[in-house]
Amino acid sequence: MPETRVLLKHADDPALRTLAGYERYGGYSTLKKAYREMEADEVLTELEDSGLRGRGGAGFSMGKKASFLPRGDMKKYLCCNADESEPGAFKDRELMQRNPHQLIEGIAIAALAADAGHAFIFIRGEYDLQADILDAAVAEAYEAGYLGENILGTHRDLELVVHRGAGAYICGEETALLDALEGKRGNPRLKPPFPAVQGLYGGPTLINNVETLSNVPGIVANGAEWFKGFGTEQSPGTKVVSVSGCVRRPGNYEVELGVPTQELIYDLAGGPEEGREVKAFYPGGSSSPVLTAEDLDLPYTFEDMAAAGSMLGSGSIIVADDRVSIPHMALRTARFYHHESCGKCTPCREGTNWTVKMLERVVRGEATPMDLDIVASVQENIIGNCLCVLGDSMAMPVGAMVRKFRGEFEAVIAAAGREAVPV
Amino acid sequence: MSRYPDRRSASIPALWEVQRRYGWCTPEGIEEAAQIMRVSPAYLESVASFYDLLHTEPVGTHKVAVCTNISCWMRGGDELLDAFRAAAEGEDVFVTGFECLGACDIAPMASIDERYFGPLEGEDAAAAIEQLVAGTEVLPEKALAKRPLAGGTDA
Repeated sequence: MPETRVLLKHADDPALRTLAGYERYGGYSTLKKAYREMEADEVLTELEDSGLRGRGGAGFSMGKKASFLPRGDMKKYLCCNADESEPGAFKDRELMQRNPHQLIEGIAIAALAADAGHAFIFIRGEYDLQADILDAAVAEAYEAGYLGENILGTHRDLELVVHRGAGAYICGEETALLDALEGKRGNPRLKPPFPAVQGLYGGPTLINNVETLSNVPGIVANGAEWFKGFGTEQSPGTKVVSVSGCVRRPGNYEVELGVPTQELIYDLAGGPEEGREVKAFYPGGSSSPVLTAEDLDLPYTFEDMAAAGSMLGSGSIIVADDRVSIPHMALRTARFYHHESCGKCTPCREGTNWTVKMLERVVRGEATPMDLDIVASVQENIIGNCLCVLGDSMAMPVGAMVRKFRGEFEAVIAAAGREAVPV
Repeated sequence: MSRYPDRRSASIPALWEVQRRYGWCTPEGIEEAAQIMRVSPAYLESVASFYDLLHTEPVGTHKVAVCTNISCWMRGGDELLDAFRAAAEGEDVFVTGFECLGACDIAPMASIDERYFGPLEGEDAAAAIEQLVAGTEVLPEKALAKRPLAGGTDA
């Protein structure tokens, strides 16, 4: 199965990273068209009609999100969420590294639609190379008059700042991102008010993921109908999918939404090594409830993943083959969320802590099968009870692993009781 | 600070600058930054202590973060961390395990002085530490920056 490269088109050409290279492939022509010939409402309508769904995890309509921003003269902001930190996700890294100008053009056009005069790219601090590349690209765009004051003589202004985070998964949560950008500890805020109404510095703020914004130039250039020609009715467009774990060719592959998951894992990523089989996979990053080999033929869409009790999330598949111990994988997953919990609200802070402790007991053989019921009930008590989705993001996959692989958990408890297993 | 509508937004960039200058977020560095930003040192300390990449205690001249999250763990991330720790013994290199660095395609991997390398084997750890200490280019064959797209060139 070949890839369908739209966002990653020409990404194999290192020159694409430069302004000259990007313009050679037609780059910034959409920005010119939008700024010179289009009204903000026209751009917004195109984005809404395209059905583009957020590529950061929630899958909410991008155009609708932008339309929630109030009209008026108040200062509005646009934040590009480049804090990609979900285990399994590395697609934004690729998009920023190989095609930074596509993102900048997308931000400028989306800012026009949202009437935002100040934009930020909040990039995780670990992505130092990509931040350097963005810094250079932003400088080039300013120099060329695509950013700054009076863009292309249209009397429209846009300031764009690349802001490096400093290592905290929680800052990918949009309200925590706003706090971090305001110079605070990255704690999530209570919602409502939603950022579209009251976001950065109290002003209306549009927050979109890197891949979402990278889709904007293509949609505005070719129209909503063109975009809907890819993918399914409910999941239009292409998706850059990160495939990793037990596969022979891990990497980012761009496909039309709706391709069978099997083809992504086997045809593109090479499948597990010879003689090995897929035992489980996270379809949408480590926060998504794991699916099993039986689910491999599901079309890779938001709706099909939801119907199977999981989610497409950020579009990151982690494959576990038959050698991987699910209880150990559950522990590894829980430890991550425990480490990254900001500690602001109780169900998440305590729930992740106790889940790690109980799963450690499981793999050490100190648990009883009854403890598995307690693990499961803790997860149920986390879901829906936290300020943000970080707690749920542990509870969903861990809950699914205990439910779907209970026999294996019981076997690990029994086996570990006989001999010490390193944790 | 002038790049931001509110000067407090410069707190993370300011702490990065302190760390660049002193190797870690020293109390003196925080004090200086706080004076310039017109915030209290305690405020900046509270920000620094929240983030994994900002060090509030001395670390080595060089920094190695080995990913031990799910995809890297499946492919030997724990063993790689052990190899780096052993290789860095007695050297001015700070080695730490780290949560997902967003490079599962090159698992197991490490961030070495803020650049990504992978997929790595145990012997790469010793080579990398040697190169770091000698000041030569680190693992040129394993740099993420030089990797082609997983699916090859455009069809």
